[in-house]
Amino acid sequence: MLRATFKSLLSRKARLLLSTIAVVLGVAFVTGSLVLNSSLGKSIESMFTTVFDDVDVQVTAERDDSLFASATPIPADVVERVAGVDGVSEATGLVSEGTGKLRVVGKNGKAIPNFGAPVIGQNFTGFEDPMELKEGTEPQADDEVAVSASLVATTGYELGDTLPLLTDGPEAREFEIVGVFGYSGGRDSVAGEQTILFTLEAARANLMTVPDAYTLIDVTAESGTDDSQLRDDIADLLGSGYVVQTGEDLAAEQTEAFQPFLDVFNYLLLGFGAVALIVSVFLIVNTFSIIVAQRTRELALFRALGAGRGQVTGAVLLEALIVGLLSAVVGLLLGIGVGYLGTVALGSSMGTDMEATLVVPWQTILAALLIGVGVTMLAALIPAVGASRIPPMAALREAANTIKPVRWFAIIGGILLALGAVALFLGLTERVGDGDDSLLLVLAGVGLLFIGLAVVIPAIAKPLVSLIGAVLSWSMPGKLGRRNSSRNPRRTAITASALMIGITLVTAVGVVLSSANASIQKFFAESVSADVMIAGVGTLNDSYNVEILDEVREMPEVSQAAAAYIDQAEFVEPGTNDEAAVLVEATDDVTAYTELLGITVSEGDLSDLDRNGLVVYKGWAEQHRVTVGDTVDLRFSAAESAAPLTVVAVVESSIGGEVMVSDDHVDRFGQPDPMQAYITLEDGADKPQVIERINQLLAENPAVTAADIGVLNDQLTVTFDAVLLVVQVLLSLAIFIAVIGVVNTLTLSVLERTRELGLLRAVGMTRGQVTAMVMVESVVISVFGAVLGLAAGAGLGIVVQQALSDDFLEVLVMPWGTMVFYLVAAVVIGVLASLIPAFRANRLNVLSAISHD
Amino acid sequence: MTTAVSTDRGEAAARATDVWKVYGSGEAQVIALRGVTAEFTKGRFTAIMGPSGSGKSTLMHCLAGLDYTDRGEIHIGDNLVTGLSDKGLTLLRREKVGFIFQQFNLMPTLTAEENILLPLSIGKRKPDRAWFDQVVDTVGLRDRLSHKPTELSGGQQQRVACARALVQRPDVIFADEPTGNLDSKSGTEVLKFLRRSVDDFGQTIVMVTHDPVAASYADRVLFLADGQVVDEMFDPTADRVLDELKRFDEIVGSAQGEERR
Repeated sequence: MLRATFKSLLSRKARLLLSTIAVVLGVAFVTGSLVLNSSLGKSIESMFTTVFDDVDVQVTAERDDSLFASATPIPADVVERVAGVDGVSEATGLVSEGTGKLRVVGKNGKAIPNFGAPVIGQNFTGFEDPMELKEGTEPQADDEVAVSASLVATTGYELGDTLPLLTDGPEAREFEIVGVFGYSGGRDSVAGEQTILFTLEAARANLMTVPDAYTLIDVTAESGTDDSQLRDDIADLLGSGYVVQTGEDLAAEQTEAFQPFLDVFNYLLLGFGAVALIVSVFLIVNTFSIIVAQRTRELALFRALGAGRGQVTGAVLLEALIVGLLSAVVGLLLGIGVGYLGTVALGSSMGTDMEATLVVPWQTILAALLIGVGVTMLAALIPAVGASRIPPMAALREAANTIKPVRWFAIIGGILLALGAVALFLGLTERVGDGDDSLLLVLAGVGLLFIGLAVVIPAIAKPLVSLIGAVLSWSMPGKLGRRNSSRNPRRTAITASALMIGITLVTAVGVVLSSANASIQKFFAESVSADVMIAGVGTLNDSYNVEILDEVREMPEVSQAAAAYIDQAEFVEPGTNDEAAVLVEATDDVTAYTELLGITVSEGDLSDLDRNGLVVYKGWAEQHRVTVGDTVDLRFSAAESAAPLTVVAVVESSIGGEVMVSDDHVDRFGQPDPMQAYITLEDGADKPQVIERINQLLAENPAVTAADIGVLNDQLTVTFDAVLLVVQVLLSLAIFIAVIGVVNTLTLSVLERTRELGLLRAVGMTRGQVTAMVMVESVVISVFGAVLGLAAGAGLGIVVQQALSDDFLEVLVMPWGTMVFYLVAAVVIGVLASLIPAFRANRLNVLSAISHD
Repeated sequence: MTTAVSTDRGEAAARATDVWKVYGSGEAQVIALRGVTAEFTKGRFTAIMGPSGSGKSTLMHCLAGLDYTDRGEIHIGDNLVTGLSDKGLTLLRREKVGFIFQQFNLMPTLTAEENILLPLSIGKRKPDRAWFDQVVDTVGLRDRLSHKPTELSGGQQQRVACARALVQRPDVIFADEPTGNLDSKSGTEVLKFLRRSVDDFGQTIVMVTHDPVAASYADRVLFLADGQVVDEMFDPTADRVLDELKRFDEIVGSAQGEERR
């Protein structure tokens, strides 16, 4: 039996290849995700290890965890105390800033957005190893800086140039580049960062605004001293209020900070891997059932010759084991390769000079084996048991692969669909229980509908496939292709289902995204009446001089303008002692601000907002049980103590605000300058021209730009399109596997119909007509899958939209364009998938095909 | 139209001239046909007989454009078959030749009617309705036209195959053991029908068979042995054919014995 299985495997290399590809891709995706995640984590870790390589121990002051807080200063005498600790060879006080506050103003006069490695500002303490001065000198005057070669490469500013920097406040300060330095080994940076070195006084003035203090102390240990021991000694000396870390601690902390991002990324990839895997399961099940069906006579002969049922099952499972093992190994290798390439690509896209390190955790190998072997054998189990059930003589007689009835599929599937529909209806109309129960019902309904759909597909395959095929059956080959596709409804159903899964998900995501886009556009159109918005790229020190807004108001084309100040304050939750954060807004023109943003008063009076007043948004008011007349204590970011404020109004609708205070408080905000502004124009104003002139007024404020508020919508659309693209790319693998499924099914069907093909060729069918016949069958199957996917995806998307229609998905918009695209793509896929099977069909020798048994 | 002919000197519907067919090479070389020359007169029913391995099926396949010859020429009517491309052979099979195989003659997805009209619809030709009706009535399938092959008996299936071959009015119908898989009653029906299509419609038929009874329905029997035409017989009866086969088994037997040294 063992030998027979091996011989049977080797004799059908094409079959082996086809069933292997599916498993290989599934395994590769999952292992690739795991390898990518581990390698990325390891690469980030080793990057930070390099960065903090020269740090023995570092001391910083404990930070306020508020959004707008800057580094807590360390008094100069602390450096002296640290220097006195046993084992300390040198303690250097440093002024350092790398949180994004320091930005370079580009040659276009606007701040250069920075999303990758940071821009670091620091005081100059000498060019010590591994730093190397490349040209110029060290900074000596307070308006001189030395910059890293990476800054020169990124910004284009060179030695001798004036470097405008945004440090504190809305206006740029200018420095002269007197030196450019690199790092040992010809590196421009340690890990992609851009470094600017100031004199100590300039660093204090620009980076922390506190005289005679530092932000951190860099400690060099005497040789032979244990870093951890030294860390603990220094920590004991300084007591609370300080954070003492070794270089290793710092590297670990920074790496840790990346972990949430890595986790999300990993879940995302594994999620898509799971989808790919499910599709692979469909493909493997189908492939094995066809293979077993074709081998029915061979297996029956074994039975007739005395092989037991277990041996027949065993033979099929053994084949699955071999296929699974082979695929697991190939898939694992492929996954490792993909994971490594992904690490390299992501490392360079993050704008860092990250060295990609390959890590293959043992779980990856386990996963590959489990998925490859386990899934393949499970998928082969059903056909294997089926094969052993066929009585030997029935199989030997003739054509044992009779079509099994699909009635039960229709009945069970129909019941499930009905139950699902009822659950969904009750859930959506909220007839039963409260919100959570409804949500559960909706989820249960969707689940039931999906299982029901999967079960009912074989039953609806025949009529639906016939309907789709009707379009294509104008000629005899088309007619034959159409009939062939509805010949074995279960086979067609499984093949199409595999394609359906991917298309369902992309369609559903598409519906939700296009609805979200439309809902947000509608919200903007209805509530926000502003025409122009002044804003930065979204950092916390995007700001401008509020006086500029007065000049804007004087422009004849401008009807209204309102500045927006933002801060994060702390307040004590009423009735408890817990401190919580609250987002605070302020504006210089409350009336204009509320009009422009469509804010309506639901209680109280906005005109009462004075120095001691507070306006709260309804959602926040309900959450914290606050109403007009209550007092709330707020402590702003830059305030020493809390101020008691009385609620004067509760307002509705907002783009995210929680409370509003009078602009009397803004000098105690973390960012005392306004960060944004909303402007409306008079009717008939030349908008681009006005925007141009506002931007001229903002020339000295490089952090912000005035733009048409419609641009925001466009940016939103671009973002949604990007999300959809990522989903499409990730799901394209699942779709690709499904396409292989179509190729697989067709190739095996063609082999199964060898004699029919021989007959057709004998009675005068040309090769072109045979190709057309196979192509029609292929297109019908893939369009069937696409139609199912589009229907299921649209349904799923609509359900999601309906369930969230009260929250933010108010409008339902179908992405007709993309849906039509998927349908057209299905036709193309069908045509492409038919090429190999059609080639095989045409390669058949007519004579041997006729006498084929 | 007269049935019996003593001499066979009409116009040829198919012709093989010095046809050689060799399979394999070197040690494993098998010469299937060695210089076969034969004519198949229009409106006649010819049976090709011979022991297995005599090359009778190969000769038919070469005549029908299903296989290539290594030397010699094949004509169907006035058309030279030899040297045609796959496309040319396909068109020849579609338009000039009809086929009846021993088994698996019908497309399982098509109804009897669609199967009968298959060669015409492949070639996008309009069927001649009157002729179609006449053929269908002759084979007695009028009430079975909408049935799928699985719903038909073996004899009915074979009659559908006959109707398909006839409805396109080919120059020649090639039948490869058409009764080989049938019981004698169904076989007789099929043979009677083939005979009628020659007598009533002037159809040319070439049939490969090993059954002397089937051969007795033909006008002429061509005997093949070892890749050569060794004899022919006009107006055969089953007994005469049987005798001839016996006689000739002996000759061939001894000849082969000599050849093998």
